[in-house]
Amino acid sequence: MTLRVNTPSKPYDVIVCGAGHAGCEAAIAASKQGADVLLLTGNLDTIAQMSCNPAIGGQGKGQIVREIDALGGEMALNADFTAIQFKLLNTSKGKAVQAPRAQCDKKAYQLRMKHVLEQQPNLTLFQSMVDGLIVQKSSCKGVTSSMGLHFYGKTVIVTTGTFLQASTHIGQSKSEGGRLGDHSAKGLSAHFIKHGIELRRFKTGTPPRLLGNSINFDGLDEQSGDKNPSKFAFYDSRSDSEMFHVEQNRRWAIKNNQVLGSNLVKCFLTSTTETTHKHINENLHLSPLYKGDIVGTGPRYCPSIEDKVVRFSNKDSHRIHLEPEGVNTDEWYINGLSTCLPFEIQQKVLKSIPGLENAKIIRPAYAVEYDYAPPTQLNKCLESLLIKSLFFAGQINGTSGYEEAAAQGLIAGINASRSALGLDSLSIYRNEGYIGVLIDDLTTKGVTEPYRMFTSRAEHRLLFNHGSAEHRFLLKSQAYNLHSRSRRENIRNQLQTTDTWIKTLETTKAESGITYAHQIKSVSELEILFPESFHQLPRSVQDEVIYRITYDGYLKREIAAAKRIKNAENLEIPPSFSYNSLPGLRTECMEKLNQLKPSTLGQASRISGVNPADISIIHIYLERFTKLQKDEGD
Amino acid sequence: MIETIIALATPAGESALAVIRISGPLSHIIAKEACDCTNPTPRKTYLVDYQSSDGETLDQVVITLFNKGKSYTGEDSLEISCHGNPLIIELISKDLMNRGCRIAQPGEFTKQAFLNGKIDLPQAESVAQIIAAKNEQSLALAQRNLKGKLSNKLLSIQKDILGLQASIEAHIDFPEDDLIKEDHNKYQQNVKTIIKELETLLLQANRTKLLAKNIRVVLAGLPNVGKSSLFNALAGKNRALIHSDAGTTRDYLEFDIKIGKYWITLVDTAGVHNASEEIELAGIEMSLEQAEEADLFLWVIDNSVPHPSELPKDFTKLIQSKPTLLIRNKSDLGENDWIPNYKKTPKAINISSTEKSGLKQFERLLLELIQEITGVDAENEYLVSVRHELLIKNCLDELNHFLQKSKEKVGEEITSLHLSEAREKLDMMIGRKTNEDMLDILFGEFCIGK
Ligand SMILES: Cc1cc2nc3c(=O)[nH]c(=O)nc-3n(C[C@H](O)[C@H](O)[C@H](O)COP(=O)(O)OP(=O)(O)OC[C@H]3O[C@@H](n4cnc5c(N)ncnc54)[C@H](O)[C@@H]3O)c2cc1C
Ligand SMILES: Nc1nc2c(ncn2[C@@H]2O[C@H](COP(=O)(O)OP(=O)(O)OP(=O)(O)O)[C@@H](O)[C@H]2O)c(=O)[nH]1
Ligand SMILES: [Mg+2]
Repeated sequence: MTLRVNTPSKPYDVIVCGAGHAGCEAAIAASKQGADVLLLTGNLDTIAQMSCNPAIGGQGKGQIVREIDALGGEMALNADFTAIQFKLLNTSKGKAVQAPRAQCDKKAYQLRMKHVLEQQPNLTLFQSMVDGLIVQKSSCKGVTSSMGLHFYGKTVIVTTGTFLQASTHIGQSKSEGGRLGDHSAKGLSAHFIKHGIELRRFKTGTPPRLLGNSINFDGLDEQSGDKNPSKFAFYDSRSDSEMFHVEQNRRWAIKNNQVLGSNLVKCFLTSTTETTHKHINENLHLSPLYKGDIVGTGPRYCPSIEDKVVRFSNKDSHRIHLEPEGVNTDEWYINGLSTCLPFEIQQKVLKSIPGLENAKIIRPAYAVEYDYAPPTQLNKCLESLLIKSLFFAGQINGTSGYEEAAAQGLIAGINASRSALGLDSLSIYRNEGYIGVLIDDLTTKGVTEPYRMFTSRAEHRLLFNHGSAEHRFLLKSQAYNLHSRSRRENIRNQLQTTDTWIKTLETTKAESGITYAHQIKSVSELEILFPESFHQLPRSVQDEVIYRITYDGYLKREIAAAKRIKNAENLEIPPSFSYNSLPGLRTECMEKLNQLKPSTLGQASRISGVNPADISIIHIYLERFTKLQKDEGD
Repeated sequence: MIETIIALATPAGESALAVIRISGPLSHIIAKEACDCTNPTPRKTYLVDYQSSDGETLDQVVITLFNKGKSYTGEDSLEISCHGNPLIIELISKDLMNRGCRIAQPGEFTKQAFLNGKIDLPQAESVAQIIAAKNEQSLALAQRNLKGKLSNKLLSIQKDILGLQASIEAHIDFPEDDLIKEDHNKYQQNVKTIIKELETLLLQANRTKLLAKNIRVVLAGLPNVGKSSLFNALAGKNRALIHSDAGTTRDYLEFDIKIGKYWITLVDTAGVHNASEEIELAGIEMSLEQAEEADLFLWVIDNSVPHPSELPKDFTKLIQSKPTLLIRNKSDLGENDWIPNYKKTPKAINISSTEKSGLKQFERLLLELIQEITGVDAENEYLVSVRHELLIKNCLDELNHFLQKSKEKVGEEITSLHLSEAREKLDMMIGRKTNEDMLDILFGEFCIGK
């Protein structure tokens, strides 16, 4: 598709800036809603690039990917079809906290996603750097870009990731770019500031990449994938055309699919030594982190190796995972060795690690510092509170991680397109799933370090087991048209089957004389002789039935508690509501509320430092406020 | 969905009866299922047996149902009058919670009443103030209870639980990190320790009645001024030894009396002066300790001597920092009416312990001073403390579930849930901790990040 005539009077419905994980989902979701979408990105060769580790999923994240799939996103399929090793995490723990993870072939992942974009109807992909916003009367009307082009859009989604005013650091050497060898986005930051959008700085880092044939794998612990892959996408509800929409196309070599999407590779494990730590300690002064050259806050859960050595000086060794970046390359990712020490020191450090004595670095480790826009400036549709029709998604919102980015992209894409098409907006609440928790945390609490999902962030995570994502979002997908009719029907049938079987197992007695449900709660699943017809159900349905029976009592409790959240969520706090001079409200609490401006009583109640009594007081005044307003209206 | 909340509406233990107030949609169900009273006529009293969900009869009670719109809160409400025995109150409350009720937040009944239009709009301000005051009172009480031990202990337990959760959550959320191996026995050991601490706390609280804390009034002064005489006069019996020799009282002595609505622990101490004898010194040391824990001082001086000499420095400091009433005793022998040269002159009164004169006026002054320092009336305070007690018991229940579920090996996401619930109960007394607080501990303690 070539660029069509695009004028202020003939705008695109949605313009997406940046084809990272957020941008791709945003563009696809918007086009699926029927919007006319333009996706601008700095470089077509880096579409959906995994800037850091070659893996999708993991704790908290794996569940998000399944939710993305349940909401019609692409990430799950893309990961499944380009995966080279699958693993279900936490199999030794309960099912509520089990999560799928996959190593993916990085290049294949990008190419497949690129091809999805290419095929998507109403979606125009174009290589161009956005350098400014067109804003009229506090409403975004389009963007300006390199080559002096202007693009008009009813809505604009910014998904520029780590690229705003980005600089990369390796020791003393500093250069511009959102990734090593990539560009940096310059004009945009100034535009945001001009329009009153606040920006702050974060940093993150990535380890060196090594040439596989220079690594000595002998004696290193092997880590292979699970025999039975646990995939991200839900297949039981899909028709072929919803599964192989890329693979069917002749241009996407189907033979690729025969190789990818299964367990092809092994990872390896090694660890740092005392010598490693000595090198690091001796050279700390050369790290821009310790010299103070980097001011942005980094994530605590992804520390650089220098951080780990300094902060946990009592540990004499740290684990290092060696992960292949793909099947058509011998580039290896050295998980655990993120650093911004000078290149020579990186080499020294590697030499001190078993297996890496002679390893050749083909890309050095580096840190990147970038602007992000504190997400408390957004509503829960991810639209700016300051500029109408301007949406933000992904790392620009202060998050970190492909999955977190993709989830936001999906929500922003659906909302921007629905806003352009004059339809109502979609909000996902924190009682519905991890994506709800993510968006609620971002927009109400904001971030103090790059935000990543942890299952503990969800108050009611027992309800968010990865297998139930489709069921949980059935009503939403129906109301917002996120799936084909046939997939929706299939999900509904499955949900019904699940409910029926739960009742059956609760009432039917096994040979031993007690009900199946009772057995499920007391003995291991493998010891139970289920009726033959149960085994004929799809595995996913069996799993869900067993899950819901096992945790029956707890789930009921959690559902009740989650409802409480929802009730408080329904109590909206109008923007004109003032916390000042509410008698009885503590000053500390007043300041917090004024700063964060929660949009519902539920959000207010989750702000740290705001106690139940404060909420009661606000509730009372809220009631008074609305009553008085109504009286005035009458 | 509106929740059903409960609270104790009377100061139990004081009287023979206690009233538990229930507000919310479960009221009818409770009348029916726990009291075997289907569709009771509103506002009519019924004498029934209260049966727990396990089918055990807990007490013979009188219930009154109020229909939606016709009750204090405007919700369906049920009042249960049971015997004022703390154990019965606890069992019934626990059963109500098993049936889905929740302990009310401070001021929550008033809030419901307001939201249901039972209290009109102009009163919103006062409602908010009541809630703010009750919350403050609840926090303040936790601070004051057990001489601050309650809140300190609860804070430290809250921290312990957060620490435990941090460890469990680290292993749930970072399964591939190189963490210290999880030691489930240690978790259980830790929880058992916490349980013991909470149980001791409750036991102490029950034994010393300190949860509904008595106000500690300490008699202090030079030897032989008549502290013990006043103590006896107030106690109404001869508990303390009295003698014309100075230094009669060596050990301290306590006696509980009631003045107005307030329970007071009266403490007689050894007279202080610059003593040399070792045993006397030990007694004086003890007086100082008592003085430090006092809520209120009765500084007794001899009004018949021309120049009462000042107390040792430590005491003077304490006396100036706490509410003090200056008692000029032996006024029957002479009235010198001495006044200390302090920034803030304490209220003073002339009495005679032997003649029992001035005692009525003394009581009135004392009562004024007490009201000044408590700022709230004793009844409310007692209710708040019962709420604390119930919350601690709830917390214990969750911790015991934790142990049981750990034994069943159900998975950490379940055991962690019980810890969260346990923590929530503490949060309700001493302020909320969030997941962020847990994460701070987690990242401080565990080397996370591949
Ligand atoms: C060095 C490094 C280390 C990282 N380490 C980790 C980690 O350890 N763990 C983790 O979870 N995550 C890590 N990440 C983050 C992860 O890569 C991101 O969270 C994720 O890629 C964010 O997705 P996104 O879509 O928001 O942005 P990105 O993936 O950054 O994509 C942004 C896209 O927008 C394009 N773009 C930018 N500006 C413009 C413009 N002005 N006009 C047009 N196009 C533009 C870019 O070309 C790019 O394609 C790291 C990232 C980097 C760079
Ligand atoms: N006349 C008169 N004598 C009093 C009065 N109060 C106490 N006394 C006498 O004073 C003497 C000391 O009284 P105590 O009550 O033992 O004094 P104390 O302050 O407890 O003394 P120590 O315990 O030694 O510190 C006794 O002989 C009392 O009878 C009073 O009001 N009038
Ligand atoms: Mg004495």
